[in-house]
Amino acid sequence: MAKISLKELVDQYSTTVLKSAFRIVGDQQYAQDIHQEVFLAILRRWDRFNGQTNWGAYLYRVTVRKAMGFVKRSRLPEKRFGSLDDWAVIKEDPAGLLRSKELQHELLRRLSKLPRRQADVFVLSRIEGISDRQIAEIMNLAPQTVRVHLCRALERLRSELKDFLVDR
Amino acid sequence: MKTCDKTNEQLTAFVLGYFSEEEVSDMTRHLVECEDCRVKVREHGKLLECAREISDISADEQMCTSAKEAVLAVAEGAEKARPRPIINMQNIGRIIMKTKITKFAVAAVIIAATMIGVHWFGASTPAYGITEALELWRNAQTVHIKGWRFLHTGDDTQLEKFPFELWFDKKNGLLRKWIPVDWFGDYTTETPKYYLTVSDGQFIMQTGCYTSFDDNKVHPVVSFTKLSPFQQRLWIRTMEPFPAFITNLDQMKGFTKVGQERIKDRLADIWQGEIAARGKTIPYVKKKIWLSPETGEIVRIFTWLNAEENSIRWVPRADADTIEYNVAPPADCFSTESPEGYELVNTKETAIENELGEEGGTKFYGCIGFTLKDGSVIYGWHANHKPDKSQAGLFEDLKPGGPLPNLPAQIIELKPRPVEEDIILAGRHLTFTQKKGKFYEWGIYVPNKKMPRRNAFDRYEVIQKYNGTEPRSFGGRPLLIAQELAINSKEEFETWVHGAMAELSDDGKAPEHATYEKVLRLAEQIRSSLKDYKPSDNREVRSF
Repeated sequence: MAKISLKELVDQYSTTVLKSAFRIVGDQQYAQDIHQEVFLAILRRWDRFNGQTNWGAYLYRVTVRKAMGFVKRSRLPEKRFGSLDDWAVIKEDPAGLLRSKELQHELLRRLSKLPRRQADVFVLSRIEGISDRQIAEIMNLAPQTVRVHLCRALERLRSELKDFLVDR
Repeated sequence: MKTCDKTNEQLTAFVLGYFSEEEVSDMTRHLVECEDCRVKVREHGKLLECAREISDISADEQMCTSAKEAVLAVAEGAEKARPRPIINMQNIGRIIMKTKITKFAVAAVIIAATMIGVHWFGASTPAYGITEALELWRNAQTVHIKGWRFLHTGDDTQLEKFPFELWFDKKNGLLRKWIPVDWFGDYTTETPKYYLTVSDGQFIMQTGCYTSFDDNKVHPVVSFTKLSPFQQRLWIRTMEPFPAFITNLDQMKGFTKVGQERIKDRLADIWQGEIAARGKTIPYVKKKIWLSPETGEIVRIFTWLNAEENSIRWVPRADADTIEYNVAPPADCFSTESPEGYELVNTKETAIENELGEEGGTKFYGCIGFTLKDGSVIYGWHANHKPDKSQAGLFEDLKPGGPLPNLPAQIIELKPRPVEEDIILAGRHLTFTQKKGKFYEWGIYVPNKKMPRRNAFDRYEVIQKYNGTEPRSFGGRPLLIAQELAINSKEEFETWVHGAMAELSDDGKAPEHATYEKVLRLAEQIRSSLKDYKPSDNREVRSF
């Protein structure tokens, strides 16, 4: 298989990478930073890749990892939904919207703390909308293993987010 | 009583659609009888819906293009040179407008609101009143706030403090915000990153930074966003305080006076309280507020955030130790000239304008709303989950006062909240505008009962209906149909309602038939038909 050029790679996958990152971090600037990091990391190690790389799978995996790492390390609530300190969230997100955003934020935060494979499978399946078969390919897992990870992730998230899921 | 034999694994497999038809039937029968499992399934469903809402978030094409071009520039030069850092170009400006700057105005407004809360719910009778606190803010030409922000590198017991400063010129819609930002989790106290945001009324200048891959150092950048004439007016108008915050002051019922202190030769009462999110018992923020008992003027605010999830451990967050009204700002305070040593992301000449309401690639969003003097609301919104498909056909043959266009999602009703009486504002078509291929519905929402004054309630609940699309949240701003945007005269109608419609029209004009008098008459006609109005069954209630 002929090795794809870096330009072709960016051309083909840039939008996918950016959109995936944006969905997770919810902020254009940070998404673009992750996008930049992903491609520059490839650029720095370009000589080590051969023509066999499954770029779609690789980029999904790396992007989700970087974005989840960002969520885990950083103060997502302030970045994604505005700082509690500046009170904007209170003005614009009273009641339901605040709850909805709060749940989104908590979901991502807890997700980032799940075992890595569970988190990645959940993101790829439920946020990226990728089929189990494709996830299996991306993550080099058996489809049945993907299901197991997804079920475990969902149950663990439900259990940890119970307080946010009660009817109010 | 039947014992539940279903495992959590089975329930998740069922919810995720891994069951065969036979297994689904079996589980469905079980769920009829088993409340515990029904609850779990409902919780799973909510989680998956939440994940789907996240999956709906989409980066806009312009952002994708600029990011791609930036990386491509490096990729193309890779053969000849070492990798260079890439700056994220024009979108920085858009982010600013949509997040930081508008929040900034709110940040100061809340101070006025905070004062009100302390007055309103104070344990003892204060020597100053709620109206004085409001008027103080309302009549101030300038407000100056400065103090300290507490930051750390991961261990929140090792805090370092950095100065911040805010300036408002409310009459002219000018502001300046200078704050340290803990950014990307790699904050170090040696390299605090400051963001400067300045609005000169026409342009918003925002500084930022990026980390170079060449030298691993932080490099400063600056970008500009342009405000349209309408947005300039809106900016100024919405800088006014509004009584919506009064309802939020429910959170401050527990504030108590804990002492007195002399600050800068002025005696101040110290009020302290903790605030919990709705439905939560553990507070997330604690504030101590110093107030002048003579004037109601706030002198200082100290804020802590709770660092724990299930218990309380307060970590200092910010200390606004100087708050002044009507002091002259320094020369060039609101200048949007780029500071020295910053790389330009764009210039004022190439700066872009923000579309009203649209944010972050949301497909269904409210643009702006106005409350008329009869309690009716005009609300502009957009709903197209397939942007490449024209909606022109859906806007044909619509009549003012007739049904709303059959868009993939509709805002069919509004409800004032919190109001005990069961009031519903039924949505009807008023008019529409079109800009750059996007259609904007301007619905008129008429109450079925007498409405309280706009400043007597906090917000509107938005009732949505989905036509063949998955329910999802309407985004955008202002979701609240803000109190500042109450329209009480023909002049105001033409300035604000027509101004907003013109803003979202290719020809820069509002539809001619939507005049103030006609709209009020139409609202009256609709109202007379609503005596036996029954809310639609087919609807999603989303409380904004």
